[in-house]
Amino acid sequence: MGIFIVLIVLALVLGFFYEVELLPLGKTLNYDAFLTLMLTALGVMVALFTIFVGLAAIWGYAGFRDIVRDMAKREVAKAVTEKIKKYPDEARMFSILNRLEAQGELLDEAQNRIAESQPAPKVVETASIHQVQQTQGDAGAAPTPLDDIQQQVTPIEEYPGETKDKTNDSSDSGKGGGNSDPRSDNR
Amino acid sequence: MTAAIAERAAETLTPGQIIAKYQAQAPVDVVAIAGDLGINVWQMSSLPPNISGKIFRDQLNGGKSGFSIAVNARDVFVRQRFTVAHEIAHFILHRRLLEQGDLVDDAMYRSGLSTKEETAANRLAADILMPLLLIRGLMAGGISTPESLANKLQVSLPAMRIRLGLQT
Repeated sequence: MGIFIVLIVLALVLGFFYEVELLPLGKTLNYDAFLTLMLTALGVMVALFTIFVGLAAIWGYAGFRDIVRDMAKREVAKAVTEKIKKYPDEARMFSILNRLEAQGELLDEAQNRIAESQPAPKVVETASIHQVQQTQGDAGAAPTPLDDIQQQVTPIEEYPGETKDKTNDSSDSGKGGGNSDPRSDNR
Repeated sequence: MTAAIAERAAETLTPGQIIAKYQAQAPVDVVAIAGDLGINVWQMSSLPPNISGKIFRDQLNGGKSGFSIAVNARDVFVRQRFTVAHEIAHFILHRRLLEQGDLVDDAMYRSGLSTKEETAANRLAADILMPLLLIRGLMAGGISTPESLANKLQVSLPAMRIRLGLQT
């Protein structure tokens, strides 16, 4: 582009010397020859400029793409770094990951053990022989008596000032129970 | 003096720490957890049968937070426990929404909140009542069937089966 401007200026200067007949070339240059020369030069310049624009377009697309990509990488890296600062440090993340893995293993283990375990034994009537009751108790699957459970957890009191609905409350076992058998939902 | 120090210490615990404190042994004491969070838990026989429970502002009988949880007195014990845990989850997760009004959960644990929030509350309720570490401990102790685990943790069998990733 610079060359193009320089050539234009040069042509104007030559045109000026021609007009005032001070051309120092030793030859006469009439107007037709000057015009031919200028138009030829202009044609060459336009051709060169067109090639230059074409090359610049090809280079510009690739270059622009690379520049945008680099800029995006820089911006994303900066934003990610800022975000990471707000999150727990690496050690803590590892501990969270380990805990999640442990929980996953636990679920697998639970499912495997349940799948491999024998079906729950059928409930047996209370036996008069002490050893039989003892054996059932040791199995670990015997239901916990309601009274024991109520002692283990804080009971739920009735809302103060509420009158209990007697019609629907025939099976209520009092505070904490709300209904007869806590295991009735397990059936 | 010692009680005052203990009370102050309890106030500085996060909800997660309070829950963890009661998850060392089975069954998990949800009413005590609610108490430490400043919520009083009550049975209400005046709740309609299709309502499992609610969490509401209660200036008269509420805890330190000003909230009370009410469970349906007709519901069975394990269901009342799950309802308490579900309302505790709302208190922890959706406190901002609670400030706008009381939350009443029907029998399917649906309130005015979105399904997403109800699902989150159910998930946290399951985490509270059936902590995986406690389940692991119980299993190591020989309690390995869903029935016995449900009985030990005082949750319903379907809840325990879902927790263990089994079909209900």
